Amino acid sequence: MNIQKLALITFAIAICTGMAAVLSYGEEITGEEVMQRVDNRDDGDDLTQKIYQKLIDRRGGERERFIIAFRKDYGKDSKSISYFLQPANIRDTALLTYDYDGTARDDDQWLYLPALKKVRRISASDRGDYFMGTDFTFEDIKQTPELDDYNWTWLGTETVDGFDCWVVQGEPKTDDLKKNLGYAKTVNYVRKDNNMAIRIDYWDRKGQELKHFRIVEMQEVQGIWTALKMEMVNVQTGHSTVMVFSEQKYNSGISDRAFSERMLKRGYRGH
Amino acid sequence: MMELFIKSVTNWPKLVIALVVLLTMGIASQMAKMQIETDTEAFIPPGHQATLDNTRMKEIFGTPDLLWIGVVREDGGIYQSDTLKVIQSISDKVRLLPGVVDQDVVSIATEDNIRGTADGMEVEPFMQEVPDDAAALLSLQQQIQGFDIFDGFIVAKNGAAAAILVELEPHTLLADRGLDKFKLYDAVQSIVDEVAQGRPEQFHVAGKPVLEATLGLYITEDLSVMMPLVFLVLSILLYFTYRSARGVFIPLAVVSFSVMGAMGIMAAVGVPMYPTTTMVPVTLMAIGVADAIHLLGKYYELVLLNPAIDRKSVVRDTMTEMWRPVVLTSITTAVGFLSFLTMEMVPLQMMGVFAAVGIIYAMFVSLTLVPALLVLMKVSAPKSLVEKVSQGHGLEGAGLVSRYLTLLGDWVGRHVTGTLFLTSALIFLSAWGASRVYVDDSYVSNFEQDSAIVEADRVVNKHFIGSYQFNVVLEAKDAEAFYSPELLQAVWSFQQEMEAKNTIVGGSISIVDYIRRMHQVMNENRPEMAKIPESSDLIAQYLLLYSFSGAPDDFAEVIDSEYRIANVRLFMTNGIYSKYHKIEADLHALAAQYFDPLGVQWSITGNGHISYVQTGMITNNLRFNIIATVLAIFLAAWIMMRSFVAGIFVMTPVLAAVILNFAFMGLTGTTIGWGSSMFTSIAICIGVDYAIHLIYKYRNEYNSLRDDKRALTRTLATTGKTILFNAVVVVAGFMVLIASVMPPNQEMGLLVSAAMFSSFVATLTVLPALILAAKPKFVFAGNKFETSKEQ
Repeated sequence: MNIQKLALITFAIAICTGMAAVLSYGEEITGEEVMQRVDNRDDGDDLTQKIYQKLIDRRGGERERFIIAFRKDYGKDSKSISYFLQPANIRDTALLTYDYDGTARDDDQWLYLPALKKVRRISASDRGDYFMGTDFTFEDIKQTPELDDYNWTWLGTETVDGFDCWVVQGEPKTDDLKKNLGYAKTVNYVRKDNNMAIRIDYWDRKGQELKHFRIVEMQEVQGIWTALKMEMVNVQTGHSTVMVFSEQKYNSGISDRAFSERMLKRGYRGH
Repeated sequence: MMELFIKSVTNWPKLVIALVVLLTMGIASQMAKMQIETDTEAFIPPGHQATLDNTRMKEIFGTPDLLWIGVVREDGGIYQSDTLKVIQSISDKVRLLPGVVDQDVVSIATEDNIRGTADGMEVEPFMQEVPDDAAALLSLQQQIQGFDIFDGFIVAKNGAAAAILVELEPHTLLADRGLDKFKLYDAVQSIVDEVAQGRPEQFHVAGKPVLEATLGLYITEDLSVMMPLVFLVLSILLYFTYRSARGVFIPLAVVSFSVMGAMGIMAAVGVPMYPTTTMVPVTLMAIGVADAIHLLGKYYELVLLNPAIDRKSVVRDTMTEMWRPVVLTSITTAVGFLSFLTMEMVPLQMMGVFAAVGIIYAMFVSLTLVPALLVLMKVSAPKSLVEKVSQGHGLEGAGLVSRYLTLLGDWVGRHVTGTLFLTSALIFLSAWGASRVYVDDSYVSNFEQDSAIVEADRVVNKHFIGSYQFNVVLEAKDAEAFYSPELLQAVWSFQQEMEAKNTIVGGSISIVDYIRRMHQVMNENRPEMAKIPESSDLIAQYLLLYSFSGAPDDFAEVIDSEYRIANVRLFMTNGIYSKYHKIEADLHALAAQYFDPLGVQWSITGNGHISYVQTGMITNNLRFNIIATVLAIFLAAWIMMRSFVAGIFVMTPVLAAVILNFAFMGLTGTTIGWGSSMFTSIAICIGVDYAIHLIYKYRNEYNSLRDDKRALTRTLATTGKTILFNAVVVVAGFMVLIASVMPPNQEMGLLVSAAMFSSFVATLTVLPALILAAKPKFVFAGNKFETSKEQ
């Protein structure tokens, strides 16, 4: 085969590929692909930030917590450590988490209780269990669901808060998963420009609307899109949780030793 | 005025009939809108402290009324795989029902154990999977028995039974979705029935919502079966009394029209059917029959005196003489029923109001439909009576009954003082019987004692900590107050003492139970560590630790999210009012002792407290209500008969009847509850009719005969006979209710019959004796109030 022939064939392939791309116009991307983009979004290799949590019951009674949190990625896995700063009765309580990718291996969690001066291992939780009395489950708090556990359906495009979003429905694949996660269905609104799920609605197993998740405020910090304020409202109980994030520092090279039992007991020395 | 009215009615009878029928049908068509209300809270006025406290408690802690599904397995207990699977299956199905709070289905299949592990605390379901080997089953049993809160709560202490507790969404939310407690109870029951197919276990559904949902409906259903029977007996008796179709048809027409009128108006103005208002139709039967019987009595009396009279004249004469006593008795009785408005409870008020509405409606029908119908009928009277009267026996000789009543009148006329002494003696005796009546009530007592509902209540309360609740709401000044070991200790002591002092307190649950449990499992599960930690920081940290595996609302029923307001739930195995005196007294004394010194405010709520307050109100109300009813009737009679003394005379036989009625209650062991409390006032209102008719007739007879004894025998032979008929017909009708399966309806049958009988006896004996002894002016001084009304 001479070079000319190769060039012609290459050109033909290029034309075909190009036309295929042209003719596939209008099919948009699949739900699976959207969620893949959410999963692949850059969130830095490590992050330090302050978290303010506000739990609001349906009568408006509030509870507040201040936390400083450190996270570092190890490939698909990550480790994090959080220190409670307020209220006073749980100050110096600290939580260490080893988060493993996929569902094959349960995450490891340890909590240090200063009043007992002991580290307690927290048993592997159900993914549908609520996290620290908030309206977020362990699954929700990770912000990206395990993609393989859901059937994703692309529902279309919608404008949310003035942003163009993909709308993707997730349905846990089996009844067991539904029971385990506590949801029969989720509908995710993902911003096309930065792949952030800014709105998620949840339905319970009776088919009734259960919770609304919203990212209320976000901003690029060091070039990474970062949620500054988000809320989760349980529309059935009227209970809600607001989380405000501040003082983010990405990629500051947090030492591996920060995520150890020794550091858990030592407490946070900054302010 | 009235003359013109009577003339018009008799001139255009068909038009009158058409108008009355159309009007009544129009009103009756509204009955389709009727709502049924059986919630106990509806009995207590909205602004009442008990209602406010209870509403607030429900707002903070959710609805505390639980439906209990009891699963009893006699061979080998519930710790067997197949039984556990049944429990799991019911739990799973029930929690998916709309109207059931998902997280608040509580059973061994849904609840989490707080367990200590080598390195921490674990909150995990008692059963992840249903265990199938002996070792796992035994371990499950040990876990339940080792956890105070659940031992006796979701599984009987002896392991023979398990409970599935179902929390229903609040009333208003259910209504929004077109549901009600009864439909939900039905749905739960059918899930249970389906699972129960061919199982060795016994299944029972119990709890306050069940009792509430079913009571009103059962009473109504039962009445709808019994009422036609009552109607039938009334018809037969009416037929034997008059031996004519009109004698049956006319009284029943008055009764049915007044019932339709009252119920239709009630539905139209949006007043729901309470268990109390189910008594309106029954009451109207007794009273409506009276109006018609008196009209017919007079009609036949006139026909007998003048068999050749034409139909228009006889109806006009009847109406001219009878409209006054009919109006007078109707208004007096209606006023008597309106006195129910002085009671605090809306359902009781409504019973009075709509009985009054029905009575006025019966009066309206009696003055329009009845004469219109009579005009259209051929003049006739029972033949045997016609013969006797024409043979020269006079009215006194018209029939066996008239002859006996004439004898009675004669006897009373000759033994005035004797009659009075005899009745006084009877009343003294009755007073002794009446003094034995006391207040008691329980929801369960309203059902047939061997019905499934009563059985379920008994079984559930035997095996578990109790299906009736008191809730003590504790409110501290500052957030996180309930992290304080001192306050928690006070709560714990309060719970312990309440349980120790009262056997019907089957158990109690508060945040303290959970904290003690956490402390124990965090200390190698040593039993001696099941206590309150000494540091409030530690308590806060335990709760934080718990929140990693528990749900945010796990403690929502016992503590608010700020840890400022706590709910101590006390479970009672018994719903009987008389046992709650001591509970209430202990609750108040112990709450004051433990919480006042700590500056913690407390209030007592819960369905037990609501029942207690409600029944208490009935007691306080009843005394007042009897007085109010008597006074109202006295005033009405005084004003309408323009004589103070007349008021007193009308009232007296009724008072005698009330005393006799109470004596009857005392002797039959009937207690005062929401139902029986009304019967006394109903009896007063019905009885007063007799007295008014008798006085009226006697005065007319005296005015024409001018002989007090002769007037008496004549009165008894005519009106006395009508009163007797009235009493016999109504008493027999009500006796039918004794065959009912619902105790409240049986009670009503018995008590109303007794009241009618005693009113009848008093009216025919004491009242004439009194009149003859006192010779009151309003009877003997001529036609004064009659003429003055004629203008």
